[in-house]
Amino acid sequence: MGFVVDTVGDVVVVEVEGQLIVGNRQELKQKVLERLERGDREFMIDFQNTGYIDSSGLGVLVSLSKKIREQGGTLRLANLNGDLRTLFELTKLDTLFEIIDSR
Amino acid sequence: MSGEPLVRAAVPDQVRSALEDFRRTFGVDVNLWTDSVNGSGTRVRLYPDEGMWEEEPGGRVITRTVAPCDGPPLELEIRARGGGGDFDAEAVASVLRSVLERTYDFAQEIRFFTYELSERYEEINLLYSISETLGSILRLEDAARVILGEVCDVMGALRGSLWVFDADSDRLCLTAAVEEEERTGLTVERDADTITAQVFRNGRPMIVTPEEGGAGAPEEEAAEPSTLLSVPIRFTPPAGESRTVGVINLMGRRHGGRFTASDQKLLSAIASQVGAALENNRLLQDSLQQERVAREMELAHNLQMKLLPVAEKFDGARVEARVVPADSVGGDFYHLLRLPAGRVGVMVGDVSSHGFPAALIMALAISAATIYASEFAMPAEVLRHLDDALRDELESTEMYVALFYAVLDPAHRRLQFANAGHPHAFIVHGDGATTRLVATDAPVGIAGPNSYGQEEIPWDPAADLLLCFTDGLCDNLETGRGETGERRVVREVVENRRRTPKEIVGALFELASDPRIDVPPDDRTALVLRGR
Repeated sequence: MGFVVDTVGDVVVVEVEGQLIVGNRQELKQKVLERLERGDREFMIDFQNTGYIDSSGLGVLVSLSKKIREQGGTLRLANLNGDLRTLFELTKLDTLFEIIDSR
Repeated sequence: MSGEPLVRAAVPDQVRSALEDFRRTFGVDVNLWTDSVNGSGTRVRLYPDEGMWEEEPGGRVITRTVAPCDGPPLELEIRARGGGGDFDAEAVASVLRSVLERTYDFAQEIRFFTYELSERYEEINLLYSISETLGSILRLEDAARVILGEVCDVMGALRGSLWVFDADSDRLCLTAAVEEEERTGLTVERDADTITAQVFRNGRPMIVTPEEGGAGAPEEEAAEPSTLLSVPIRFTPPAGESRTVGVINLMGRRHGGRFTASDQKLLSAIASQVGAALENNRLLQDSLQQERVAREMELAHNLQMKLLPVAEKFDGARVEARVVPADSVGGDFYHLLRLPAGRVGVMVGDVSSHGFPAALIMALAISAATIYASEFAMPAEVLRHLDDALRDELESTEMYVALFYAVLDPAHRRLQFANAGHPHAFIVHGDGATTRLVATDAPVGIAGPNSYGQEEIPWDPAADLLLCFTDGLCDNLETGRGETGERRVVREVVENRRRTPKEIVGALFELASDPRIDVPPDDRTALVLRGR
């Protein structure tokens, strides 16, 4: 499990490897907030290689989304697999994020 | 330690016996004199005692100087009775002198070894005493103080200190002290430039004398120069390398002098016993702490479970509900409420994350829900007020609550519900068909104030089952072969729909006990309800 941070144009892309759970959510938060403080405003979290997100993981996405919006930025979620997309829909969290099929 | 010179006024028994034998055998008078008693310069007769026998006057007097190895010379005086016998008095005097010198030396050696033996006995007794103390006193500080006191007493030290290393703070802590008790609790850094810290780091004993320039107290405080003995307290586990766990210092000697290699050896032996005791004490404290934490966790678990209503005793419907936290406590909960006009309120919540933070939110949510559910008839109103009650707490902790609340109205055969992001709520109909009770809003804490809606669907109290469960129950049942964990749970309920709610919930938890994929454990909850 880990995170790979890359910059594509003006967009900071964070790839989530494995799972986004209570044990690693703070690491993701720290990486994104560091870039937010450095002035980046466009963020994308790529779930291409992510099989599972627990409720803590969802919580940190909501928190990041809020903080980025407060700074005038946007957070998009990409490459959610079918189950994860269903999870966002069932919990109505899809209304909070811009979810895109691929990068 | 060394034997002191014999006091000449007390003639050793062995010398006295030798003199008696010569007197009787050769028929001579024998006297033994010394000049040294009390340093008075007065000549004192050591043998015979006054009035022991009557000396015959006259006769030839022969004197010899007896010179024992240790102590001042003595004067041996032999007087032949009746003008002498048929022996060579000079030769007898010489032999007697030689015998007395050796006898004196033997007596001195016996006295020296007796003294040494008593010293060793005292030391062995000290080691036994320490073992007893360590075995009988549980509190480390008390045992250390008793042991240090005995060590100072037996080894003749003026002051003593026992330092124990605390790995958490990386410092040495003064656990016990003799004659400087007020310093107990003082700590020094592991890397400090003090004798105690040096001995700890190097793991080697040290004897320091004033002449060597390093004398005095081992720590920062000023103290008069004196001899110092500092030894590391080492612990060797049954398997693994020996390590230093503390330091014992002795400072100054009651009768002067300095600490010796023999003292160092004895104190090192004591320190090794103390090391084992320190480690045992640490393990004991760890064990007690773990027991305490386990008791507290069990208490917290029991308290949290008591917040949940007992489903079996709920008379508004036939219902079974079970919550199994991933830790001792968790964030899943349910609530059952008797409402006016025969209606029944059913709530299932899942606080994000688990453990104590989630449990605190759960306790807040369930108590607020009890108030608002009895106050407001519409499910959406209840969630709106719950959002108001929990918002600050949820924002500050970055948590949220997926919350489903339904009001079942048997009289009107309808079910009204508000669903704040709870993904797994269904009606299982009598024919096996299922209806998902979809989320009407995002979870509480995310949806925002005044944003809760509600839905209404038909409800057949006799045939329909209300099924709610949390993701902890189904997430690890994902097979990846077309059937999700959620579908597996729903299928289990559909197949068992004619059984009692209790039997169905039992079957679900049995199913969940056989995980198919490896995901982190989460709180698990299932609730199944059928109307009366």
